[in-house]
Amino acid sequence: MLKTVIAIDANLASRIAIRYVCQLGRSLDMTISTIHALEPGEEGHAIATGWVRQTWEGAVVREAKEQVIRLVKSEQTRCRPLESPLFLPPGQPRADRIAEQLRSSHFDLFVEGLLHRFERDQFLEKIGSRLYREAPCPILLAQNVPPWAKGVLWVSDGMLTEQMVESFLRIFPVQSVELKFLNCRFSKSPSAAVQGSSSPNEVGPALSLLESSIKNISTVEGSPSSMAALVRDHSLIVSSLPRENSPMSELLSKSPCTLLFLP
Amino acid sequence: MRILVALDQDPRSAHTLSQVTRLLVNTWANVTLLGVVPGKSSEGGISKDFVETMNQYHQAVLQGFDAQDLPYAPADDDYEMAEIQPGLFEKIGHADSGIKELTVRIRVGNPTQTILEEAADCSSDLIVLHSDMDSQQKIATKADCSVLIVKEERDTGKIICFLEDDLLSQKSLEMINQMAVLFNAEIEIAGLRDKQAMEEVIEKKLNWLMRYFNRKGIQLWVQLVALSSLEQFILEEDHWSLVTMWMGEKSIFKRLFSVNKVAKLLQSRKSSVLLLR
Repeated sequence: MLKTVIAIDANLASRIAIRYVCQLGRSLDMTISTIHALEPGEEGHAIATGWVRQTWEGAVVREAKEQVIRLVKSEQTRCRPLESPLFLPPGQPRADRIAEQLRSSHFDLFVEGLLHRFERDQFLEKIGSRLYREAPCPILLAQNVPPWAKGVLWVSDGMLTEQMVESFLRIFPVQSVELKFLNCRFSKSPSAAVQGSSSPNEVGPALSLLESSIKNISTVEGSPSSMAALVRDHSLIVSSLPRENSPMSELLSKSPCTLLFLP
Repeated sequence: MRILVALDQDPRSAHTLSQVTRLLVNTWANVTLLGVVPGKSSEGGISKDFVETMNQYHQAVLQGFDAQDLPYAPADDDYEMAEIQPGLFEKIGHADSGIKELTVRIRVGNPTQTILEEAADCSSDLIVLHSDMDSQQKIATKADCSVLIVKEERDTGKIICFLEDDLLSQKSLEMINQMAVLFNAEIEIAGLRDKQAMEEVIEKKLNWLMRYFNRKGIQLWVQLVALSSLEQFILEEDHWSLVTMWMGEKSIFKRLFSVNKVAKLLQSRKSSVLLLR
């Protein structure tokens, strides 16, 4: 059974993450835990000092807890496997507390929501964060909740590793999904040239582990902007975690789809 | 709902009408097909050629319906185009009236003025016109109701709606819903943001809209766009069949851009445009 955990806050991005995972839960055998990392001053700057400050911080934490509990309860009506939230007490930085939770509870999949933005800053900040760089499991970044029928696209600009494929298969066992594979060759060309069908050899021997799930392999050459249309309309896009200032991060930042980053 | 369709003899009018017919099949709206001519013929009336064109447009709308579902009066070969006011002609037939109104009219005069006059006279909720009408920009600017500017068919399966702080009326939502059916498209909502407080309001609205459209079985994609990037967003992300903008009195588009600027910005794009009021 896949052990999934969603890091949530009281916002729309978290609702999207919950709804996406709950949709996934209808076809996969999985547990769905939720965690919220409490922050003493998450609603603003600390006021005063001593007991006044402590009282104020306590009130902020209680308010944050209540909002998160309300959010989860409202989603539980449509998603029964969704578990009530675990609150990580304030102290260490958020990323450290979540990373520790991922390690100690041996989660198989970490999920967060992000409202897709035309501006890339927040996306780049996420993928460049220590939490993402050092996560012990795959990360699902939920940005929208399209139906599963829109299919899964795997994008890559290099050779696939066995580790990536095995991580993917732990979530989606062979033949549980149909995969389209897009091999990206980045250049400065303003228009994308797509070769309808490509050889599996171009992406490496690890691909053979996925063979029965693969519906189509194509290669595309062009700038990230010219490829944007190819990553716009899928239920899920799978990739390795790209470097912050790479053509792949630019391409993925243009996708409104939910993204799965494999270690 | 009452729809006013402005038509001329440009081939794009026929395409516009075919789009509107699909909308009428879904809505059973009252509709006026308005032919616009700059002047009367040398005999002091409307040229036979133009009257025949309007008659063909009328027939084309009726043919879009199954006979048993037709909410309008059936076609009548025995009709006259009567001048009911100076410069205003109406097709008068003898068939029984339908449960909904389909009026065929021709107005003589300046296109902008005549279309706006007709829209006011029939209290239309939506004016539809094709993108090559010279008057489109002025009508988009001056109309009191929503305006749909239909461009050549572009079937990308996506329409975009810009969402902002201002109230979005139920009527506008229903209009967007109809457009999603008309264009057989999924809806992208771009929440326009400038500061944190506004972002929270937008998020609440996005959440509500996700539920609203999901209940109607329409796929919704949400995203945020900074106001400062709006122009760049429209230019770079041009992949929609239809662009929808809320042009209410308090709307961001009204505050930050003149309608003229919006119209000019979208004129160069391939998407059809719906300005909601």
